[in-house]
Amino acid sequence: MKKSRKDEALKGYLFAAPFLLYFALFTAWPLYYCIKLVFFQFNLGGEMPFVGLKYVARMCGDEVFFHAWRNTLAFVLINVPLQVGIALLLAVALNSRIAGKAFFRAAYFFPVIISGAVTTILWLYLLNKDSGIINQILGRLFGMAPIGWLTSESLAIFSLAVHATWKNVGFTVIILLAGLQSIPRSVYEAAELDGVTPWESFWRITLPLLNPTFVMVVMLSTMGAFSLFVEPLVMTNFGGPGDASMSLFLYIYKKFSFWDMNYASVLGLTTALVILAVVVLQKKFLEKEPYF
Amino acid sequence: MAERSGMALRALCYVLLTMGALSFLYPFIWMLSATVKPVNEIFSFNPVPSHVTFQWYHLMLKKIPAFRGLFNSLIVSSAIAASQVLLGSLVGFGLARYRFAGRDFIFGIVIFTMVIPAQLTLIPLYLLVTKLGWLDSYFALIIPGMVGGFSIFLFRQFFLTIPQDLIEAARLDGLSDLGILFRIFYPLSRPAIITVGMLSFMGSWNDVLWPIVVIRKWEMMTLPQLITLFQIGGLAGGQVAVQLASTTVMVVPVLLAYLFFQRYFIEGIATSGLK
Repeated sequence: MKKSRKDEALKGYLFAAPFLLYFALFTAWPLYYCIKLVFFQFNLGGEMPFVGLKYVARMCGDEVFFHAWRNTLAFVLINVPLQVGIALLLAVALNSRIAGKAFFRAAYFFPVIISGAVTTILWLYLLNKDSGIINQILGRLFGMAPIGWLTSESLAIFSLAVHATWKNVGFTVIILLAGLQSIPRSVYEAAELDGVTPWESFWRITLPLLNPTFVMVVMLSTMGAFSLFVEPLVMTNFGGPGDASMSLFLYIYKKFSFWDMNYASVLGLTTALVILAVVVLQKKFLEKEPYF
Repeated sequence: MAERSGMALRALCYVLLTMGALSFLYPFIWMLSATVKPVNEIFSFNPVPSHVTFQWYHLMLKKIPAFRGLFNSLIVSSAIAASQVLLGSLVGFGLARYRFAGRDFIFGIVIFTMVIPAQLTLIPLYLLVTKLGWLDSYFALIIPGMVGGFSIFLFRQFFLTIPQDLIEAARLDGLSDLGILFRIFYPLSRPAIITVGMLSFMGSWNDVLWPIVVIRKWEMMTLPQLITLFQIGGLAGGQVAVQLASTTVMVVPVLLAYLFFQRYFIEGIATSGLK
């Protein structure tokens, strides 16, 4: 008996070994090095002198970093509610007794599987001020003058958030739909017999029972929204106009591409810590019962 | 009365779903048609061209090594997908089916790797790859992506649902542990395998950040990297249709794979890991 338990443990470690190796090399060591770069001067190959909080101090006085925060937060605050809201609407509609479900699901999911490199270039042209399809439609339907979606400082982040919503909403729809389908039909049928209106049953039955899925979807969308990178790189030409759409990850990448390793690490670590805190808080405040 | 309001509600659902579907699909239809239209029709709302031209594709191929990029992307993404399925299922099997000290801790680390943003480890990873001499090689593109927390998580969740009796029976029949994984678990786990395979393939196929960091040579670049640099580097010379031709090359293989696998794929995501 004892031998077989030892045997089992050995096998367990053997099976887990590829992951442990991967984790040590590609996650743990990089994380350790990242933290080291906060305090020690970067030097490829040579000795790394201690620099204290020099780079942290630099971050505290960096206006562009604060703009990047403001822009990214604005993006998260527009993108997440829009994405979860629209996804909820579409998922509920898709969960009713209708024909053509497979087609709709496939259509919604399609932008999700396409590279951001492709969809951002596509939207760059859809949102073009003079010839873009979106201004053409708005002009024809409402007689609106062309809008500089990506060239106006006040609109740039909003436009990026609309693109991101369009691109990612399908993923949210699929997960919410799975959550909706795990709610037994009999609950609704019983409610219907009691004369509960569809509107009431949505608020009293659907939403409470969907809570765990809902929380997960909000957390996943938030983490996704914080990693805003390709959109401002491609659609607003490196965070423009000015730095009106400079995002955190784009800024970190910019510092990195100028070989400013220490500073990029400080920015990256700070950003990651705040994102983790936000996601943990969301879980705490939104979740009715612990789920995982 | 209830019957009528039910009808109205269903009609509303159809309107909503159709509007959604149109807004998701029309941009792609516009893109595909723009790449074969004459220049003065590109920005037209109407997707039907007056005549079909392939000049934009010719121009694109003159400017960037798109086929080489396609080849690189296929190699890299296939290798990553195969390895994520194999290693993900091995580790997931270990975590789901054996009891050993530290197992839950290891699973905790798996979850942890899913939450930390990739950008955080970007710099040290780049330095590591540089030290190993992997810059501008397939190693740099493939090896750091061979295992992933999400694949392990998904396989573990899926494997936990397979009844223990089945394993006991297989063991009595003299199957080894790997035999049980490959001969009993694999056939039962088709949605999980397809989901992990497709998600890893697409994740790597669509990734721009990592290739931009570790690849500088044109002939080693992946397709999305080429296309992004083509766009931001101004190589397309402001020619919209050439640009869109390059993105179409990128979409078509994914579209075909998606049409082929999408039924399993969406069900796999919806039912296996994320439950």
